Amino acid sequence: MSENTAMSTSEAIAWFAEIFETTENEISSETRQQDIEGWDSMGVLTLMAELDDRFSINLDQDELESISTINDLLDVLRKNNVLAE
Amino acid sequence: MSQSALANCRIAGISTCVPERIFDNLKDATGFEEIELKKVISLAGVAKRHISDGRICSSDLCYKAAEDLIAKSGWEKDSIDGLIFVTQTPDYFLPSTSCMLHKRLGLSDKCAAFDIGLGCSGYPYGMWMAAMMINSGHKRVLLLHGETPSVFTSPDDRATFLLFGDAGTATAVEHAESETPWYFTLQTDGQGYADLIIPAGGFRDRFNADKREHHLYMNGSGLFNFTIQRVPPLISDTLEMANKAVEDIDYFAFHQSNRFIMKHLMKKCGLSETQVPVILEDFGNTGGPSVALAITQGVCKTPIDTEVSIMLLGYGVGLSWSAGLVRLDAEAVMLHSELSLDELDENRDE
Repeated sequence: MSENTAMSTSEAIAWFAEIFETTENEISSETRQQDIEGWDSMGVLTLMAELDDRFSINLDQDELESISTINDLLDVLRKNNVLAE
Repeated sequence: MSQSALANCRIAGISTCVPERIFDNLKDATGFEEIELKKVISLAGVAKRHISDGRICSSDLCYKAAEDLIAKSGWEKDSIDGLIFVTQTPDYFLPSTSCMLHKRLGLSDKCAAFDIGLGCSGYPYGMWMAAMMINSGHKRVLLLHGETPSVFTSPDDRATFLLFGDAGTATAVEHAESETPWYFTLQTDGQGYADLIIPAGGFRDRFNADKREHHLYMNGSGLFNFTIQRVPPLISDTLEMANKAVEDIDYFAFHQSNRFIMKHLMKKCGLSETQVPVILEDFGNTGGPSVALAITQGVCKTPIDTEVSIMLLGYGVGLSWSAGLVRLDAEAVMLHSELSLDELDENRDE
């Protein structure tokens, strides 16, 4: 079930890469949603399920709409105190 | 808490019916890249769907399911004193489709008949209503639940077009002395009414010229959040009322929404794969009737030889969610059939 252990920024980026079916070399904190093919509507669902599964984080519609870069996703982790910096 | 326990009910049989025509998502879908189709099929778990082609109504599917069930269970038509039709795809706004079905099935005039306008949560609600009727003096209630969602999705909507199939179901519920009650939890959050909606065609906007407004709109992420936040407590609250644990229940018959969400729910709730039939691959999401379809094509695909406990689970449009913990014995009739357009022309009263 949930693994509430905080992750480092590089671990988080690798995790997002896995979720969006790309490699960590292809993305950085600056990468935008439109530049990641796998960050489509199905990628969003996978992301939501993974966030719920791993950290019990549920994103509402407004939060989802405000996310457009990997950095925004890192902010979500930061806000929920699961990003170790 | 909207919970109730109702004893003295028995499921005499369940019959399901789907249109004969199969839409193969990989072969028949146009306007999609193959890679996209494969992704949808793998994530949603929907390879094929039985679709009505716009001619078969949910009432036609339920009629066939009901006729087969009445014949096989040996119920005299005069002995049926209640007919419930749960649907969001009625033949007409007026009259109630249940009245048409009452005529078509040739039931007695000493029979209550009414529609219930619920979708994905409709099957546990319908079973609850049937059990309420049995507990208030009715002897035999026919619960029909049918939907043709493939008709209201737009071929241009990539989020919904490949997901939905059509199905009609009939469940025979009768009075039988029993000390073990059925347990129900029924809930609603109207805040999310617009998350799954057909905006036009009702009396608020009857003649909107924009065809898109007559098709289904789905807020996928909103529904995902709703589902993962509402369904786990729905299961645990119902178990708690019945004083049971997850492992005490033989089957959880989920509304077959999509495989991705169902897998996530199973993991979150600690349910094993053997407890949760998944029939999406061959039928798609058929709305609320998918719960009954999960019983005839999942739980009872191989006939059961002993009584089993099944938690019926519906969740979606409304937003509305519901659970019914019921029992199914080995003598209950289980049927499944397909309806062809030729057969439709033969038996429909135009």
